[in-house]
Amino acid sequence: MNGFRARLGLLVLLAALPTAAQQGPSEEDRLVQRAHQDREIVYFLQQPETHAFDLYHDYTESRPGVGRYLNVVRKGSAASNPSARNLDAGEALSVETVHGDALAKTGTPEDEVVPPDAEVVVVHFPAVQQGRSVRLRIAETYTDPKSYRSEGDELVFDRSFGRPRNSVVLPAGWYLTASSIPAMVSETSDGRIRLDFVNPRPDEIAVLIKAKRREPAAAPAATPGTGRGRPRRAK
Amino acid sequence: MRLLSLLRPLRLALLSLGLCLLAACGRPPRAVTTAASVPPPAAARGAAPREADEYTRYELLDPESARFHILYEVTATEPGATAFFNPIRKGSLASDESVRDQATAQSLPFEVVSGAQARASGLPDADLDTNYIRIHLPRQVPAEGGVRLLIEKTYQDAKSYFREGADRIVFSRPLGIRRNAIVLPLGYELIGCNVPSQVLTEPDGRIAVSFMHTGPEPAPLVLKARRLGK
Repeated sequence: MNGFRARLGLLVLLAALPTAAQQGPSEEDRLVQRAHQDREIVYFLQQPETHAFDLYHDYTESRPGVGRYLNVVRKGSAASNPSARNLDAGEALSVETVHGDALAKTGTPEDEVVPPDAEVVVVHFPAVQQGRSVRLRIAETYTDPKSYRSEGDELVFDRSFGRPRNSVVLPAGWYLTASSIPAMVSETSDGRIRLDFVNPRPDEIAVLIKAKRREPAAAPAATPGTGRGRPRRAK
Repeated sequence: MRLLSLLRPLRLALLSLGLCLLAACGRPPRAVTTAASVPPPAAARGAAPREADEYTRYELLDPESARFHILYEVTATEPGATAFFNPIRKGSLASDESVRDQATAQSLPFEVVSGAQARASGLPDADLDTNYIRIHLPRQVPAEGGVRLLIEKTYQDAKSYFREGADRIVFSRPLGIRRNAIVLPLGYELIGCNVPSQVLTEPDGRIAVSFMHTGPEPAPLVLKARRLGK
């Protein structure tokens, strides 16, 4: 009987927990149309010893009256070189980096909840008018030794992606040795390897990418008569 | 008269029960299907699948040879079947075939047969323009079970696997199997893959590309790789 009471008490306790704590994202969040979400991010990895990667993030703002975009920097990452453009007009937009507590004083109901200790990149643009929208591109450089690092002779990029479409471009001179999440692979015009991830599900993907440095290209063999190039040493 | 009308439902119920029993006795149990029996046409079988759990691993061999080694895992699932037919894709020249029972690791006998021979010996809807590997199963496929096979073969197919320029190779092949892996030759890096795929490194250093395809059509795979400079 005591055991029954204990189990009953546990059930009551569980029922009293906030719904979000028990179930994760709300039904509203889970039932959004993924295919119509318009955020996408492209990451450009710098050499791994810098732990830095440039990225741009495209987003369409269509809420009437909204005239700024808040990009909350992920904990553990530091943002630098922020810039933004209105892609519809091709115009540069003004950008500032502020702390969450300063933002709280000027916050608007449309803004997402920002932790007071968070670093936030704020992009300013003319407020969206009723029935219109604006396509934004926010660019910045993140430094995050936890997400992006060297391990032996490999680079490791280990980061979760929540957007439906994400891309990662390896640094010049590196070739792909692993990708935990299925990606389309292509070569950029300057010879870097690009991975494109599409996640149609309303969840995050834990992307783990590894790459190795290519050996320097061998010097071209001597071409008789041209005087260019040296004969290679036998190995 | 009134008594007869009262008994009529009882007579009908008994008649129905008798007919059911008769039908059950007349139906041949599936377990007695013999080695010589020929499976009925697909339409009559309700197009029940003959196989399940397919997975294919392609190991690209020397690019000059246009050859690739295939390891095909498949489970024969047609109850009572004693043979399994694996088509040889048109345009591919097959060699080095072998078949193994995955449960016992036993090698299984097989022969290459024409479409007509396949039709006559267990695959009534065989394509007459296709050759098949006819595998003799080590036991009848059990009801609610299967015989797990590993079929290995090497294809030579210059249309699917070819060089592009001095240092690049292309593997371009529509793949109908749902689970696949393609292993590059040693010393090649992946530079293109149009089907979302995992990328992994094999213990021997070869790069492997693996994907699961869920669409209704074969995956139109185009994979490109480049020789790493040394």
